[in-house]
This record gives sequence, structure tokens and C-alpha cells, in this order.
Amino acid sequence: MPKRFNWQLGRDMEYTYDGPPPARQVAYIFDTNKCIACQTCTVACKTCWTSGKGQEHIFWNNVETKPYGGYPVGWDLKLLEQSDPAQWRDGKLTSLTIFETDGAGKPPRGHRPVPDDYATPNLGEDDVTGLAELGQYFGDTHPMWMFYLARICNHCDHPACVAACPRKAVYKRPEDGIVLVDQERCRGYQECVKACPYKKVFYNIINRASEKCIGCYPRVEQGEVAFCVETCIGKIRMHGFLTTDGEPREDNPLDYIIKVRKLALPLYSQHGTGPNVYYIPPVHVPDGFLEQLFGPGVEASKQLYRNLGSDKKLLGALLLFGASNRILTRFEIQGEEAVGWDVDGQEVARVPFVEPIHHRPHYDDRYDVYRHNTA
Amino acid sequence: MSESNQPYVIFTFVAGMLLTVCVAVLAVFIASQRPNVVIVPSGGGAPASGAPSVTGGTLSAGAPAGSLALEDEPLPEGPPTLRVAKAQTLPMADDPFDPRWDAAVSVMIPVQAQNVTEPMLSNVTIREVELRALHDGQTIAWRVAWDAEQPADRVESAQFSDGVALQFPLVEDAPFMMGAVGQPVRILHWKAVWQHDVDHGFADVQDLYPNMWYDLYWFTEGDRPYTVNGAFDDPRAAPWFIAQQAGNPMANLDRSVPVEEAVAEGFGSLTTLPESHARARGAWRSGRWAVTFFRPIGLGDELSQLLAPGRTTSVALAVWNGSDQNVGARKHHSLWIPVEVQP
Repeated sequence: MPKRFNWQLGRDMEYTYDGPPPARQVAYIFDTNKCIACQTCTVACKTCWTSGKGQEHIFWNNVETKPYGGYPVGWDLKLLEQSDPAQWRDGKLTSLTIFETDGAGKPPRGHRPVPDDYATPNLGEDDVTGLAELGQYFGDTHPMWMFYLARICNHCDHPACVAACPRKAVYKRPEDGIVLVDQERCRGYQECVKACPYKKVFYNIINRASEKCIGCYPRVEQGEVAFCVETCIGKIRMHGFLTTDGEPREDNPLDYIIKVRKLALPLYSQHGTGPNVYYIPPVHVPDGFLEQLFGPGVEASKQLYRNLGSDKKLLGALLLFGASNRILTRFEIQGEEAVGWDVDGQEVARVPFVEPIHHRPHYDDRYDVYRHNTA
Repeated sequence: MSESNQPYVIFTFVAGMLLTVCVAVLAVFIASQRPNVVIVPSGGGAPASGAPSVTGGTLSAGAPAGSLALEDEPLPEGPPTLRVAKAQTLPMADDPFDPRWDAAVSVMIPVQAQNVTEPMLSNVTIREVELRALHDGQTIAWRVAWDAEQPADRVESAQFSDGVALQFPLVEDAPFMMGAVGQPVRILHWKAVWQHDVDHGFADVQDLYPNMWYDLYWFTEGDRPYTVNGAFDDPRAAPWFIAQQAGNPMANLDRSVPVEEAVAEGFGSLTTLPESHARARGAWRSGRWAVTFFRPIGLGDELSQLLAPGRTTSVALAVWNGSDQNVGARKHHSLWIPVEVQP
């Protein structure tokens, strides 16, 4: 098998195919600290893309509660059980990826969810790590924790679904790295379902073919962010492109947050697929759990996040989350504002660091009314 | 390499050679002590008394079939030839268990796990299939039968279908596993889920989960649970049946035959042809599948020319045990079996 460099693992890795990287790589940043699991993203995606017969169980986007939640049930735990614990040394993965575990030429290590695993999309929702004891009260930090993990297809650098398909019916687009299932060629073997560590390929029992998140590619081709990103009311998401044809650009908000500052980290990168949804880890969750999910950069990321108040450029980049339905390819801090430009070079976002205060008097002369919400 | 290491290297080389020779001698000795294996047709599909039967086919390409032959019989030279006799009347096309099949020569064909290309089949659950064939000058008919504890004919995530396929070489030396580039093979492929569709109507969500539906199917007609054939006739509902819209032959919601005709030129290249001239019918009874394929002889296409009376060719089989997660390349297969279509 060819060897490819996996930058997230800091080393070369066996992979089924070789080839140049896409011209640019679609990527997302999700700030887990801001997600409230309102599921608006889930509904937006499902309403648009997967509301057909046979797609009842298909959630290209879902939001689950960690540590206990997961859809399909145990999607991550079942693979972790089959894998040796991830080992990192100086930022380099020394344990084996799913492409290496079973030896060269073998399909990626994986598991196939059973139908019952798709029956409970909200299993574990809002569950915390333990029960409050009688008489317990809030001191300064909660002894229990949970957080919401929003998940979509990772449009991986080295997709397991692509590697596993015996018909080459799954492919990665050269123009933007979006991974798609060819709906004409797929014969529903479900090898991709088994291989994907994130279980973001689903089998449609009516179409009898496998389907996955299409990265809202018709919107991306128009320079617009995905539905799940645009509809996020908490503005936890940023959608854009990572630079693949050279060094990361400091004025590309995704390059800057992910590669330059390393604030956002890939999910389960130890599996080796090179996932491209990057998470800002929840600062209140213990490192041990987070490092299993996000790798060895967790503590440094938390420090960055806690220091955002004195880190103007990084904070400015975060202010641009949800600031436009256009994909931002460039950003800049101008005085007390963060400014973003789209793929056409048009300014599409200008966000102040401090929102202006508008004072509305108790009595409104224009409408001859008193306001009761201006105290 | 330094000179001081040379004696050591020579010693290692000589010792290695001696070890290799010893292992080879031992292997030959062990092989010569193994008894001959006898394969006897089994199960309800065993040929009726008096019906001719041939056992054989070897699983080691190029090796003589001696280890599979009946004891005390002369060793056959390779797999037995399936002679497709001419019959006055063919068995019923819609009854795979029609007793008239007993008159046809039965060939027991050993199958093995596909372990040439990934993904491979790791567990052998089917060891042989029984193949018979007849023609009446107009139509050539095949019947394949094999043991299956239970039928697997439901469509669901992580569940797979029983199935069987007949493969014919469109050029003389096409590889027995899916052909190769420039060496195409033609395939008749039957699946139990397709048979279920034909027999009972397209398997809808409600066949698995009677009370499951989504709140918002776009542009539906009628009422819950919105049957797939009927409630989604509004063309605006079509985009949510994307594989069907793309012309994917798997997404045939109105299937009339449980068989597809396909062509392949190597692994992963299976392509369903737009039209299937073959008709097929599969039935499961008492722990055994029997599947018939009927195809007109006078079509004039490559396959019917290949199978015209008087011609000789080959057939290879693939068979899937859906209950054991057989799907795609995770299948059992045979080698080429010589076929002689008698005039």
C-alpha cells in the first residue's frame, strides 16, 4: 500500500490509494463550548437532504451528549474496543491506525452497526457523568460534566469509506475534498458503513444504496456555507477551506485557527482518516477524556481558549463564526472589528469586538408607550 | 558487510537450504498419507434414483481432480462437463422444485471462499451447489440448488441477501473471477431480496417497522405511513429518492424480475445491463434454495450465441449466504465448469 503523510499524526501512514491533495480542503470548526444541542442543525440538514422514505434513520448531522450519548449507539466505543489505546509521543502517533491494524492491503478496521443502533438518536442526551448526592450544592466547579458533540461527515483526507469500497463508488472531489457516494454505482454492500470510524455513511433501505453527508456541495459551489452551519443559532460553526497547496495562511480563518494556532482539534485522529471537522474542546471537561477524543493538543487548546481575552487576532477569528452565510476565505482585524471576505473577494462580515450599547428610554415618544424591558 | 561476517553468512545460508529441503520432504510425505476426499451430494436436492449425477470440479486451478473423485474410479481429467441435454419440454419456469428437473444431469460443484481480492470471505458456510441445465431449442434453462438453513431475503442495515450468479466467458480465456479488462464475462444474477420484491411487492419501511415513519416526507399524497409505491408519485418528491433518480439499478422500486444481467471486466466493474432477457425464480423449501434461470436462445446477442445448441463454453458460479454477511466480493465461488450444449 502507498504511504501518505498524515499531518495530524505527524507521520507517514499506510493508505489504500495515493494521489495529490485536493486543490483546497473543505473544513469546519465547531466550538463545543457554545453548543446547546438545540438540534437546529440536525433539523435543517434532515429537512433538506434526508426526509425521504428509507432515510428515517439517516442523520448526516446529529448532536449527541458526551460521554454517554452517541448515534448510532456506541459508534466510537465499538471501534475503540477493537483498537489498542492511542499512543502519542511528541505529537506523533506511535500506535496503529485503522488502515494498519489488520495489515497492508486489508480493509480498514471497523464495525457495522446493527439496526437497533439506529433506533435511539437521542440516547444519553443531557446525561452527566454522575448523580448529584443528597445535600450537594454548587461551589465553584461542577463535579459532574457533559458536553454536546455536533457531528457531520469529516470529509477526511484519507477516507476509510473510499478505501473500503470495492467498486470505487466513493470518491473525494479534487476541487474541494468533499467525499461523495456515487449514487449510480453504489450497490449497497455497506463496506463503507463498516469502515467509517464516524459512522456517517448510512444504508438507505429503499434506495438500497449507501448515502452520506454531501457537504452541501451545491451550496459550496456557490460560495455558501452548509445548512448546518448557516442555521446554527449559537454560531458555534465556521465552514471554509484549508490550504493544501502550500503553507497555512494566517489570513485564512480556518488555517489560522486549526493549523497556525492549533485551537481546534480533529476528532479521533488516531484512527488515521485525517478528519476535517475540528473541535474547540470543552474547557470544563477533564483532559483524560478529551485526549481520547481530540489527541494530545487538548491542554494547549484549553489554555488558548481561556486566554482569548488577550489574544485579539484569535478572538477576532472566532467572532466571525456564524457572521455570514458566505464561506470566508480571508479575514483581518481592523481596529476594533473583525472583517471577513468571501471567495469572490467581497466583504461579507464585519463584527465588532464589543457590541455597541443602545440605550432605549423607558418612555417612547414615537409610539407613546412605556417599555418594561429596559431596566 | 565486513569480511569477518562471511563465514557466519555462509553457515546460515547452508543451514537455511537444509531446513528448506527437510520441510519439502516432510510435506510430500504428509501429502502422500492423506486419504482421498469423497464428495457426496447431500440434502433434499439430491438427484432422484436413476438420474445421472456427476461429482467433481476441483478447487485447485490446474491441479488434477483426483482428490475429489470417487474411490476406485479412474481419475477424471479436470472438472466434469455439464451436458445441457435437449428436452421436449422444459420444467416449469415458476417452479424451481419441478420434478422434471430430476431428468437433467446433476453436477455437484464445489465452491470456496473468495480470497483473491478484498474484501474477502472469511467463513465458508456453503461447500457445494448442485447445477442442472436443459434446453428445448428455444430456451436454455438452468437450476442451481444449495443448502441454506434459513432464507435471507430482507433489506436492512447490516443485513444481506442470499443470492446466486451464473457467469459465462465472452472470450475464451476470460479469468474465472469476474473476467479482466478486455476479457469480459456475462453474468446472470439472482437475489433473494429481489425475489421477495417480485413475490410480495417492494419491501417498504413498514415491512420491517410497521409503525415507523418520518414526520415530514415532502410532497406526499395520501396518509401515513405513506407507502413507497403510491404516496410519492408527485415528481417534486423524487429528489429524495436520489439513487433511483440517478438510474441506480439497485433502486428499482418496481422490480418485475428477480434477476439482472450484467457484464464485468474485473473486480469492482460489475455493470447491470439495461435489459434482462433472463427470467428467474427462486424458492426456499425445507432448508434448501432452488433457483432457475430461463433465457431465450435465439436472441442473437453474445450470450445466446455462446449458449446455442452444439456450442461448448464454460460456466462459473457464485453463491452468497446473506445470513452470514455475504455480500459483494464476500462470496463463495467455483472455478470454470465446462458446458456442452447438446444439439
